[in-house]
Amino acid sequence: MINIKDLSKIYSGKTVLNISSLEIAKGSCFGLVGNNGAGKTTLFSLLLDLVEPTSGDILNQGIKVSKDESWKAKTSAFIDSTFIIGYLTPEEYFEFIAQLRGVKNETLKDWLEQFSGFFKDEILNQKKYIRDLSKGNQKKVGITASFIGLPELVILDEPFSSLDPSSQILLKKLIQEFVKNDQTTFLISSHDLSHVTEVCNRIVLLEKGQIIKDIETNKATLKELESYFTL
Amino acid sequence: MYIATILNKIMTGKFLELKWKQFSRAPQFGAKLAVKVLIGFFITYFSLAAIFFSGISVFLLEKEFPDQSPLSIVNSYLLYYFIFAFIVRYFFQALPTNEIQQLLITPITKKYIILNTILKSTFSIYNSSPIFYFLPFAIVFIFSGGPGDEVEFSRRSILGIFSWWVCLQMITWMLNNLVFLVNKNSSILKTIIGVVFFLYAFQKFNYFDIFTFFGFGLDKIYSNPIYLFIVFFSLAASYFLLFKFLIKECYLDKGLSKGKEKIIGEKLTFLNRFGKLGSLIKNDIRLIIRNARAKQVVLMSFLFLFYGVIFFTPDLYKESGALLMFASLFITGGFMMTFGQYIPSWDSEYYPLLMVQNLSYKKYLESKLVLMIAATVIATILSLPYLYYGLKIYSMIIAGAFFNLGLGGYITIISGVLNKSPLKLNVKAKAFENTQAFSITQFLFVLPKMGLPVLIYWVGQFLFTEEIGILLVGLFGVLGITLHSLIISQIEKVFKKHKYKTLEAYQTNN
Repeated sequence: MINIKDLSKIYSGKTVLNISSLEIAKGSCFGLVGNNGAGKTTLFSLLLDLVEPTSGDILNQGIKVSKDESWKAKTSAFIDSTFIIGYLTPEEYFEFIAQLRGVKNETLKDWLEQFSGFFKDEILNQKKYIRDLSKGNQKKVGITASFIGLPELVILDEPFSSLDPSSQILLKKLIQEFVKNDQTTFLISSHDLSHVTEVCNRIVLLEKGQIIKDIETNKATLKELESYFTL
Repeated sequence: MYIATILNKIMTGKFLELKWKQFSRAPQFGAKLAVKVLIGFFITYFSLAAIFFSGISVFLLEKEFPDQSPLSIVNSYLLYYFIFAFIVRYFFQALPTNEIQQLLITPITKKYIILNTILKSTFSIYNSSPIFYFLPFAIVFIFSGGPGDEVEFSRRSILGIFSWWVCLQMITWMLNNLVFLVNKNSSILKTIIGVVFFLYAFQKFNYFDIFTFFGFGLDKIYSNPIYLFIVFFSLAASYFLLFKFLIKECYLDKGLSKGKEKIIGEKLTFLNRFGKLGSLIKNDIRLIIRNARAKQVVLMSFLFLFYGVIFFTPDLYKESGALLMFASLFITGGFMMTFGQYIPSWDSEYYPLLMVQNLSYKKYLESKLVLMIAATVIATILSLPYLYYGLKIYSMIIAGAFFNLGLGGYITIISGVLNKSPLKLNVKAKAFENTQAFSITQFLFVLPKMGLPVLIYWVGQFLFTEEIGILLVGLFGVLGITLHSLIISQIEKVFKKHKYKTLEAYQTNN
């Protein structure tokens, strides 16, 4: 699904990301961990062609992301609050994204029903603009929108933070179902090691822009990661 | 307290240091500096113009109406002025309530926080208008005698004119407090609208003329300054009421909350059949009606419609066709200039979303163009009353509209891309601090946008006739329309080229 070759990003002389090679298979759930400044968000921004690589290329299903824009039809993301439109209601926002992704309005309404547990009567039919929702609910709106139109690749930056515990559990379940039923590929970054080890089948640990560990998740993974991050 | 802390900060140099850091570390520092200088120049210019006009109006009025006192003529119109000022302030004045929240948990008593807020709003630039508008008038009024009488210095009372001016300043402050109250409590606004309606009805049926009454009151203040006490007590009462009100509302879930916003513009279903383009336009319409900043800007664009009155009325400009052409462009181009110049800055809060969506630049650009075209067409229809000034001027307006439609829109979009300043959508712009999304490129692009059509006209009328000049301006617009897809694909390239820089600029400033 994703092919990265000799990718680097340098901001005013400082190398923030340097990956010689990384491949991510279709249908996998790929976790990215690392302390602040490790380069997680930079990697995601490069994948989404939001920043320009200093060198190297990223191929999304064989398409060079910085050259051709056709990957956008199959990829979606929720990185931060710049991915939601505050002055729309959640319904209007979903409709807008659905329109861009070629999903019909009626289909959208039915499809949204599977999120009723996740939304907990706080998102739909509230007569509220997204900017007036709580941070956690704004996040739910953004994450849900990234699932619209069944994209083949979903990129989520810190999806679990600022969600309440039961929503975190529900989100994990949702992600696992999408991977299982639709072969969706997920790229997830998180500071929460237990969540990411639970949901992802592969975890890459970044530090200072370099890949330090690349682990197929197993029972010992959480321990391994915890011991790495313990100072 | 507020002044004391500010003074303290100034004395220790910390305040200025922080301000300087904020300014000098901002992106595009050099350009921002130039803009500040230019804005400073404009403010000085307009202040001086206001002072000059205010002073000279004494002589003008005396010449036109020799048998009336210029003061009472002015007085009889002042209520109109204050109503207009109220409307403008209601839409444009940003109130210093944001800082209350941060101060609430600091060891400062609520009373001081509120006093601080009120004091701050009292020194708002909106309250300085009496200095520019009325003080020069008062001074000239004192030092000029009436026509016919030699130096009749004593005939005009210094004390009287002084208390007249103080009275206007006090009314301005009352207006300030009223705007504050109205912004925080919509039922007060409804009451005011109701009262105005009744007074209007009374005037219509000749029971009671509030405008004359208001002017008469101001005359009285001049002739008998003792009445100033009434105004003074009303002002004190307004401060007291505002203070009481704010103390009571000083909770996160009361006055400090944004309140439950009413959902407007939900339907708009007629746009559904236009697919992606339709939903983009739908978003933009919602952006305009649901965000404070956008509303302000669109309101401004409406005022452009009246631009022509200034230029078409005086005989002075009748001869200069180029100047008339210039004014004509403004009439239909208001929306394009005010709203259009901030494309794509309007979407800066969620620009990354748009950049990763399955959406071509072309669709995005076209949606913006459709919006500008619609606004230009509406403005053209609304400008029909300009027929009053004759067919020549109206044909200039139509030609200008074609130019705006065909070329102006594109130029505006390009200048917006190069601008790269983010906008905070739901925050009112502070007076004279409208520089966040304002840069030197904007100035440079005025040249092709305004200068080019004027030049085309001028060449046409110089070589041939006025009519051909006007026709040429319109034809250039038509040329732009026919070259639409070519131009759009060029703009697309500009957009792509600036994508990363734009994203970065929006990210760092937001």
